[in-house]
Amino acid sequence: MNRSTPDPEAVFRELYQATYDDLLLFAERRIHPALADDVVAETFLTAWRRLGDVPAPLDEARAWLFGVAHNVLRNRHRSENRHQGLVLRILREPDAVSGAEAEGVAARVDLVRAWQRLSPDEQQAITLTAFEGLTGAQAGRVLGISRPAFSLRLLRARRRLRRHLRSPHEAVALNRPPHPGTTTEIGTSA
Amino acid sequence: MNLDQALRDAAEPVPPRVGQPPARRLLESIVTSPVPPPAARTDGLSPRAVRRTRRTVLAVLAAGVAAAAAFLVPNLGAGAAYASWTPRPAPLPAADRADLGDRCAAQVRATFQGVDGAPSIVHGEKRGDYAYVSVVTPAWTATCFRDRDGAVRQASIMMAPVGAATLGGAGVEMQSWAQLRTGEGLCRLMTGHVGAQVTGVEITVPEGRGGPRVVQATVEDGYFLAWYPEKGQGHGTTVTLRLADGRTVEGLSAKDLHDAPVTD
Repeated sequence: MNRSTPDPEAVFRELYQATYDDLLLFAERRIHPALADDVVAETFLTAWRRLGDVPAPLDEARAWLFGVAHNVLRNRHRSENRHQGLVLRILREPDAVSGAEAEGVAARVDLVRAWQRLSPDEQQAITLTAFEGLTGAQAGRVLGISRPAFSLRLLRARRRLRRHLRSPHEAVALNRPPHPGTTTEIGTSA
Repeated sequence: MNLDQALRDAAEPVPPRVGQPPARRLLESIVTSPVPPPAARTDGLSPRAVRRTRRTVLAVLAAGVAAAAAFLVPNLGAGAAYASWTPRPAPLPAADRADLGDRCAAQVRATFQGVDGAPSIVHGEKRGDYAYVSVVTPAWTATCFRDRDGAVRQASIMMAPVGAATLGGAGVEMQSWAQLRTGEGLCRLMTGHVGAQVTGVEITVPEGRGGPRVVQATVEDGYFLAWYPEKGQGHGTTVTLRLADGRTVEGLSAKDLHDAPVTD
């Protein structure tokens, strides 16, 4: 992001162009898609009002926006009195070749099932790094926890995911959402 | 299997939407809204970063007084325990490094089954009878300590480290600051990733009967590691970075670095 220009509107437009898709995905992973646009709008409006607080490096600016969006989402959940954890759908930008296509549908189903057995906090930790590409320090700031605490949470989440992958037939009711009130899912590749 | 890649492969793709009408309408509505236009910043630093820099400068000034009295004293404060420990490191022989690195990575993967088997780089050092290594991958970093009896202990692991580009020239991410208890008592193990301009790292530990101790870290390929006997909680420990152009960045609080990296 070029901050050499003093024109705030130009700076904001550049930020918007560079981060809109990532921010929309961030929101869509965590809230019903119909509401994600509102979260994005509120987040960018905050960024416009507080442009001076937005870090200059693009990856830090992106993490800053995720932090604002995380708070917007949290306030929405709170105001709606919904005691639910993360509503986490995994979406990504399309790319040319999907390795999972070659590995087969069965492996993907196992992964989806293992994913569904993670807690919302565990899904959140993995999503922030694997999908949203944040470092541990950035992800910790988004969640309001220390970097070591986030590192531990991520480690546990990944360990549990691997454990679920190795024992996909443990006595867990897989045909129901593991956490009431959530709609956690992994979509399939197009 | 790389878990992250498998998850990404399993996910539902969506097309870019920033160029679509709803996104364009939102942008125009924000920049033409009656909200007072923000003050543009051109210095590349947020006010928060400026405040942090000011705090760092003050810390540097304060630390300068203490650092003036700090010096390298072998074994000071170590007592009979860790008697062979030295404030300056010695290189770890290549064969030793490879063996210890393999054992360390194996321990990490056995203990933390969530980590991927990515290719790793091993850095190491010796201080007296003891060896210390860090194993670095793009997704995690871990450290292992070899005691004088040959026992290897996995000391720390950190996930999702910062990349080199983020650290720039004089940034630093502390990747571990663990305390380990061996048969000789407690010791502190530190590792980190530094910017491209950093050629030396020193750790100033305030405890010690004769005043602050300065521990010289091993710096290799942008990573540093050091360990030292320490019974306390690490209060007041600071890190100094020596840069290729002769400048130094002093007074970086180890505790603050443990919480968040400093980027350049």
